[in-house]
Amino acid sequence: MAFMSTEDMPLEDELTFSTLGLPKDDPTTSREIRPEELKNEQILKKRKGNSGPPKLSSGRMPGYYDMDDILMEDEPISVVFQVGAHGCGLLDPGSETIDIEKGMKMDLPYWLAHQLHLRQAVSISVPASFSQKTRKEIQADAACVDLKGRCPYFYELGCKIAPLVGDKTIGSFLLYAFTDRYKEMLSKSHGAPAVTRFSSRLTKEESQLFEAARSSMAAFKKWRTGGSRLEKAAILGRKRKRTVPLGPSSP
Amino acid sequence: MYGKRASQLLKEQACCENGQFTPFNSDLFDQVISECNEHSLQLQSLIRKIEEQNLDMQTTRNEDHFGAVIHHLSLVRNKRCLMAYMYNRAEIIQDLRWKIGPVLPQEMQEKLNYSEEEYFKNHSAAIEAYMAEMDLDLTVDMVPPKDPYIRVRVLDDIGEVCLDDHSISLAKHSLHFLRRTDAEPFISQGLMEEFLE
Repeated sequence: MAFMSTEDMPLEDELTFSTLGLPKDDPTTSREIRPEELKNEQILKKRKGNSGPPKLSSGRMPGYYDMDDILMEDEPISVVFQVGAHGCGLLDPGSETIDIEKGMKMDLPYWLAHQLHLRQAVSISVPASFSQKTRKEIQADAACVDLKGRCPYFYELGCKIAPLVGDKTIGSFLLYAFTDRYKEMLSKSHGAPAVTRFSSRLTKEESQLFEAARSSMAAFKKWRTGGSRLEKAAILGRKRKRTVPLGPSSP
Repeated sequence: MYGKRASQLLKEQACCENGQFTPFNSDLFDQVISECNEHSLQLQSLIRKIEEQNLDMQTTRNEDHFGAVIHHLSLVRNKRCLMAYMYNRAEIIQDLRWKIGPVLPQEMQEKLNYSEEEYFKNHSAAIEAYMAEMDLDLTVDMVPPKDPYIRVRVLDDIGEVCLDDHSISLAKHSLHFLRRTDAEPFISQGLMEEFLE
């Protein structure tokens, strides 16, 4: 169908850019982080100010306010401390002292692990989501693997972690996993209801694509049959029960 | 664990996507702020320690330095989370003016905190001032119209309304033939639906 091909193209473009593109340059590679970081924030804010409200999930450069980017950086990474640090015992709830000693193993969120790695304070090991076991499962049948359960930001984290651990194979592994799952995702999305067993296995990015494909197909069907084009604002939620207009509405 | 509460705050907002809106979680918000204060105190005390030992702040890489770095990073992270929380909510609140109109339903109003209510009012006033100046209602015809008049069915008792030059009684389940621009706000508020044969 001519409609499908035109609809799919931009989608595909967009995602290769965001998931599989080279890891973005990190502006914070120097040791003295504070002035640089501040400057970057200011630049970001200026840009936002100039170009009006930016789209939140445009999927290209993650912005300062990008929720997905922030939540992705919360993924735990296991690290080994190469130095000691005072007064940070709360990082490890089980520890008795408030100091961290050299050689301590810990799971730190990416935002902390990454920055400490740049300062050579910790060494990072490859997360379990990219282990040999996962790779074998993906090779067997990529579409059946529950990537969401492993890491909801599988591709984004992969792109960021690859240069840190110096594992060149992660990039091609991500590409393989994505292309293999993409086919399945697209063919299943067209007739599917909003939540299926398949869609619960998708990572955040995949489910956005899945939803995009599903809703554009639904919009196309609606356009063909000519339904109402005016609708209640989605933010008000589902239709209220018409029999009790003044009753407590569901949150 | 540092930064856990802040990301919890964002997760709450992110997990009810598809255009829904959560009440402002001031409890968690305040907890994150007090966590920030705690980090700030720790950071200052560690820096003081380095200074007391007469070490150079720029080059020292001892345990105190890395402790301070961890507190600094946590502080910056918490700030980013809080900023993103407010910013993303502000975006949604701006949208409300376009989608629902200048008056929010009660259940929506309850979800905003005080400063957000102010923001909504001011944003709404700015749009209205602009529309008055242009003498044009920008919030109607969000979907390109095919016909200036549409047939609608009333879903809730709206009562007597003054449209254009005459008043009309909009009782529940009644059918009307209205100007599209008049019907549009009622439809987006969920009080009417377009009636199709």
